[in-house]
Amino acid sequence: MDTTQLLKGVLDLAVLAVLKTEDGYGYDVMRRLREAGLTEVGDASVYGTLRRLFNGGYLTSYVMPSNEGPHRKYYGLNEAGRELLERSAKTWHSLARTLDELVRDATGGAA
Amino acid sequence: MTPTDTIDGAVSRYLEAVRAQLSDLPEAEREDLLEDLAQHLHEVSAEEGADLEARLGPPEDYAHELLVSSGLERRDHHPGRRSDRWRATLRRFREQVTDDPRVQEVLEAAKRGRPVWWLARGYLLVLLGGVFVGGAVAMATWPFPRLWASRLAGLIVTLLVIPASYAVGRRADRGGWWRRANLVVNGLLVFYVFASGSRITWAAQAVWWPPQVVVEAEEGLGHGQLRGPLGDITNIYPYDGDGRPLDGVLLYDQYGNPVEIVVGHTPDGLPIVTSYPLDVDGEPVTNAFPQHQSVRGDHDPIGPMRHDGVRRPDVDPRELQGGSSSAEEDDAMSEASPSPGPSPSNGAAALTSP
Repeated sequence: MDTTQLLKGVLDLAVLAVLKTEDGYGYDVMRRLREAGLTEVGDASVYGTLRRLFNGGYLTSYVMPSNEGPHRKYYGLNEAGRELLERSAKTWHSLARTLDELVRDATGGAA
Repeated sequence: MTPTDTIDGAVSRYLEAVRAQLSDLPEAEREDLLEDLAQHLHEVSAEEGADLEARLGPPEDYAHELLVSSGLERRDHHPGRRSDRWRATLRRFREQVTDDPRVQEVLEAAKRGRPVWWLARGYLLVLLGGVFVGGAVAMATWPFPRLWASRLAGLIVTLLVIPASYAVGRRADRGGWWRRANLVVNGLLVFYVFASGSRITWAAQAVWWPPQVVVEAEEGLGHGQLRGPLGDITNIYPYDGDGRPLDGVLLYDQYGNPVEIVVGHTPDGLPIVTSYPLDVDGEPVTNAFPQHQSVRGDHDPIGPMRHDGVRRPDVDPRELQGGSSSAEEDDAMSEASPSPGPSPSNGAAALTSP
């Protein structure tokens, strides 16, 4: 199964989930996604998703000065973002359940 | 170059390459994306050094992924605009090609063969550069390039350029200045090939096939310029059918005019002084060959340019018409030519050397 394709569909949800725990800057979000086990996620995809969610009005953004280099742009969820996360999570759970059942029936119980 | 310089250089190169791909975006969006990217590149390079492409892929691909995932791709682009479809098609084609294992094998082999290319390229640069600058005469002493009228100079330059080309090629992977230098070297070679193309063909012909002489006629003056494959002809060395060099041979064209060589310089640009034999009236005989030439200011005579002497054809002397040498030059002239030759005017029959 092509994980990359699958991941593209759910990256929004993953990014929202990461940011719900704690605000983060781009590189940090990416690192957390990878640590969670999503090793296939591309750098550009993460940044692009952050930007898209921000443009859609789901994220807040602020700049924190840093001693080691350029200042870092942090992202966090706003109210709309938290609502989106809840809705997307529900959709995801429902989809996962449906798919589990489907696969279980098809593979004779070995899921 | 300190490590920080290399990293900064790599970062700004990558940034600019991505910026180029985002040129269709409105400025605010583009600058936002690039600001994020700049930050990201600094984090990445802090971890992994200057080789950004190894970690992030080519900037064009990064830019594309950025556009797609940020949902900005369609803005300002009419879907199905021809240039977009072309770009997408090309990209898919390129991906299909590079995914093919056979193609990957070929690319691997090519990568392994690179050192040989770096060496060969050095030699070609000197040879073709010599032809570009000095004309086809640079190949006269093949395989050694002849530079500034000297085989030794050609050899020295070759021995310097070949390792330099190898060094540049090896360091090209480090990126930055070296990569650009490598591109310049390759570009220079391509330029020489195109710029010197016809001269190379002529020169190769002279080196590997029997030499041909082309007579170019200039309009009006009744003078013909003798031109060989390696440049102007400045002297003619006659041999008899037994392979013995001849001296004092008088040459005439079909109009009965003496063949004169009026070229002031060798192909290398050195000024020629010719001393002509005098006829009984004391007039110089300008069509006696081989001509006795030397470089102005130098007393050594100019001989044949090839280091192994003149290339004589492998002919059985018995097969040549009128093969053996005759005592009188007039008779030799009329016998050897297919049509009745001219008879030299009086005064030329007896020669006094200067």
